[in-house]
Amino acid sequence: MKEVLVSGKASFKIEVPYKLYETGQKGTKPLIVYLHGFNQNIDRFEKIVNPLTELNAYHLFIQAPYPLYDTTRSKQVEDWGRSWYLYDGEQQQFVKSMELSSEFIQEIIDGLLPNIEVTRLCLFGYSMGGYLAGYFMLSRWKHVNDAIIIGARIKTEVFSDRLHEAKHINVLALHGAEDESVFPEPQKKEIEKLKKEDYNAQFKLIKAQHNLSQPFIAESVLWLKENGY
Amino acid sequence: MKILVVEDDPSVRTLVKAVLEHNDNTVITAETAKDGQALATGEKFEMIVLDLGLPDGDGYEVCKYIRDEGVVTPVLILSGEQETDVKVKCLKVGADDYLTKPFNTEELLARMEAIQRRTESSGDQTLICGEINVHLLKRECTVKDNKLQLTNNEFNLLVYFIKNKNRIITQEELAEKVWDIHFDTQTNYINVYISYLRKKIREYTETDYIETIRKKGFTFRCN
Repeated sequence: MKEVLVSGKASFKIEVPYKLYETGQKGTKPLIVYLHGFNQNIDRFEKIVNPLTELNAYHLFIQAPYPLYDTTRSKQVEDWGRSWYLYDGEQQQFVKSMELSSEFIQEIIDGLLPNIEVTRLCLFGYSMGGYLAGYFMLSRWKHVNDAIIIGARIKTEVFSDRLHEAKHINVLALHGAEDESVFPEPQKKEIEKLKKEDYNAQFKLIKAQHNLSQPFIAESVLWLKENGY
Repeated sequence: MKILVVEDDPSVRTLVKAVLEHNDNTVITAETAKDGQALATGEKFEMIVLDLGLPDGDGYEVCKYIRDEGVVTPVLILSGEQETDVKVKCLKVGADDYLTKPFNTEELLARMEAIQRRTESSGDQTLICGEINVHLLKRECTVKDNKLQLTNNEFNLLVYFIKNKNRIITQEELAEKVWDIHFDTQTNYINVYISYLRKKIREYTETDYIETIRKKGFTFRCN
């Protein structure tokens, strides 16, 4: 006889690194939160987006929680890529997983805010981190003032009834014209949808593929400066 | 802080009320969805603590109702459900955060403090100067309730002016603080932007807010 007596779920805690930098003059300034892409990690991402850290701001880099096992055993654990959520194509699971990661990001931000004077908050998300930035911005709109989303789609359908609440958020969506991993057209449509809700939202095609190359970073720096960063 | 607690379970209601009052808050309680909705829409609160399971409705409906009525007060939902789906549903109806029962009182206070801080840092950030109203978060500006269509640079210029009202501001200062560049005497783009901004404001008012101080700079007059 085999009988299930109890089944359930319990949390398992892992330590996930984050780093907060301050650049420019000391004091009150914006906070930029960086969310890397799939199979990247905090150290690699920092190097790629380095020009952004020249802006006068606080820069918060957070590493995604789920490690991607390196079956080749050619890398140390800290060099493994990471993932922000678990995605099997099932949308409810997808949203649930993004919510868990958003809670984790929120916890880090909430823990830092008593110690730094922040004027605005910008999310900078690339690819998988871009999907998450879109979810975070719509679910926690009181937190966010600006969002730069690269090579991803804002899943507006999750919060379709409440999009108007987040219309104060300035959105820049950048997409590679030759991106074959995440096609640009769906994101373009999402930005049109946000514009109809009175958002200050822009969609820009960059002559690039999906990789986070320097033209994306240069556009982001320019846009942030135009927005008072 | 004035807080509304909507909770039907007397033991939880009493505990939450006692903890919040002990921390210098004023607490009003409601036991039903109907009373909670009436209070939330009829009085001004700084925070609403809302139970999901109420005898005459659920917390989702209450939260959705008050948001649809235009109430922006932060809402913290309490529930025995631990599933992430429940939390997503709460956020979808406009809640700010979610706390699972049983909770310890320190966690309750910490969550409320975090929500409050978020709301303060991003909430009602309005600058007012005479007939001009600037909403920093929405990046909107109105003159006598007429919305101005400002470019980013014009908006940033206006905000800097209002924050530094009634004093002389040089072109060098504007170049550095608004555009983050060094002033170049060979160009007149600052004058151009100021003329755009002046023209847009003057569309709806007779008052000339931007005064040119010859050979010195500009003063934004707010009286």
